[in-house]
Amino acid sequence: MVGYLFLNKIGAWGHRLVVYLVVISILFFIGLALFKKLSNSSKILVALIGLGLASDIVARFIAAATRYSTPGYHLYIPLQYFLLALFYGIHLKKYGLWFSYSPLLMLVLAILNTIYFQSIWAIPSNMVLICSLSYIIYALITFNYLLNNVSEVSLLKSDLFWSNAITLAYFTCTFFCWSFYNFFVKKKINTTLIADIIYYANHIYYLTLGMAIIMNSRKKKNVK
Amino acid sequence: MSNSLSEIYVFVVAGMLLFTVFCVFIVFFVTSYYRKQQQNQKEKQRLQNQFNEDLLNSTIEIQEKAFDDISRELHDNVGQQLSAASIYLNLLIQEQKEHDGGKLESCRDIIGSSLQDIRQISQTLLGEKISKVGLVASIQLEITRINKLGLCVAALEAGDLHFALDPRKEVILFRIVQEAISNATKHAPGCELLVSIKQLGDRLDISIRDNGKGFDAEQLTNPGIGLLNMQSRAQTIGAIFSIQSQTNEGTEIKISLDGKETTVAETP
Repeated sequence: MVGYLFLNKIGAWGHRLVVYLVVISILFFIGLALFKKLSNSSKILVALIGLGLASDIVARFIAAATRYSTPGYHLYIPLQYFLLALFYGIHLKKYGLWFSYSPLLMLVLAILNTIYFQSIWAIPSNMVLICSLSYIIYALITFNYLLNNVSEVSLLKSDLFWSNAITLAYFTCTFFCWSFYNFFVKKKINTTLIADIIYYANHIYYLTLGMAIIMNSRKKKNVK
Repeated sequence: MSNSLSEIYVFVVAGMLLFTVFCVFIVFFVTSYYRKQQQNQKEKQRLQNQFNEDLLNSTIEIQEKAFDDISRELHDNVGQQLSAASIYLNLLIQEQKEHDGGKLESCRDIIGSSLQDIRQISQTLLGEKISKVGLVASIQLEITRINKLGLCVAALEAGDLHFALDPRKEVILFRIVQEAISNATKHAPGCELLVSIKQLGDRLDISIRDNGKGFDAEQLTNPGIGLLNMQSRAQTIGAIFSIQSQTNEGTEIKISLDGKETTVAETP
């Protein structure tokens, strides 16, 4: 959700935001209800939805107090990276070392970015771009992994396929939108379109993650 | 902030392009995945078939080894002992001709007949012997044995075979015929049985037909071990196996083998 709240009127609780929070809350509670049936990687997806929900609510409170919603995102982005690294680390064991230590690296980069480039009152777009690019690479590696480890189960019934495909689509969209956002701001162009795209992309992202979680809960429990 | 249409167009067009690339990528991935899935399934099936074939070959080899051992045991041990008993009986008959030679002679004849039976059984069990005397002669021997036992009225119709059969395949074909004859004697005792061996071009066709009580082949959902054995043996040599039967109209088993694949490469 990073960016959407910022791109709208700071502190505004528009109906679209309410709809978004209701949707993400429902998905989170469904995830919690199914938690015991889920594999470890799907439990991480539930945590990811929970983190998204928490960060958006916290951002509202910070915005209400300071008129800026950005401080929460400076913490949200490294935490989100930590969860997604954990998620991909489960599937891509070959790169286990990278997924173990890269969250630390991202945390250091996030701190350096906040100190030297984008203060706590600015959108951490540099980190958004770096992390989005990382997720795109991880998603592509995962697709390669899927292709090299073909199972007998239909691909369309694979929760990993859906969660990975939506991660690729969502973060490609995020990367693309944020790349243009900086340009639009410089040129003083209205960014509503970008905000709208991110808003709907968020819905699709979380709904697909929810679908992947439900699919996983219906599978026989396995190691992953 | 002012709207700049051209920049927004660039954004929209670039976004649509990116979305198209993503869709193409997903379609390509899904297609590749399914193709690979199919390849894996084919490979798995191939390995399964290979495994079944190996298992079947091993089973046949073990059976043949057991038959060989029984045959040798019958010929070398039981046969020798009966021969020795027969010699002793001959001596006894000469010594006691005046007293009770008749009973001893009967006893000698029974032993002689048993010895002959054992030799015949031994011949039909020994794989080497079957390939040595040939398929037709071995079947003829089996038919003679069955007729002698009075289990069926069996006959053989065989034309000249213009190709030499692979010895292993010859033994397997003989075992199928042997099993079919055994089935007929078991399920249709006293029936008339005709074994026919014909060469039609490059094909070798064998038919085993009886006029016994038969059965409804279409209702046969769970075939017995004997039938499965015949089917699997035929499968190992690439022969086509079929069974036709109707209630009260007898049974016919057909085995068809491609002669080209069956012939042994002539050694210089």
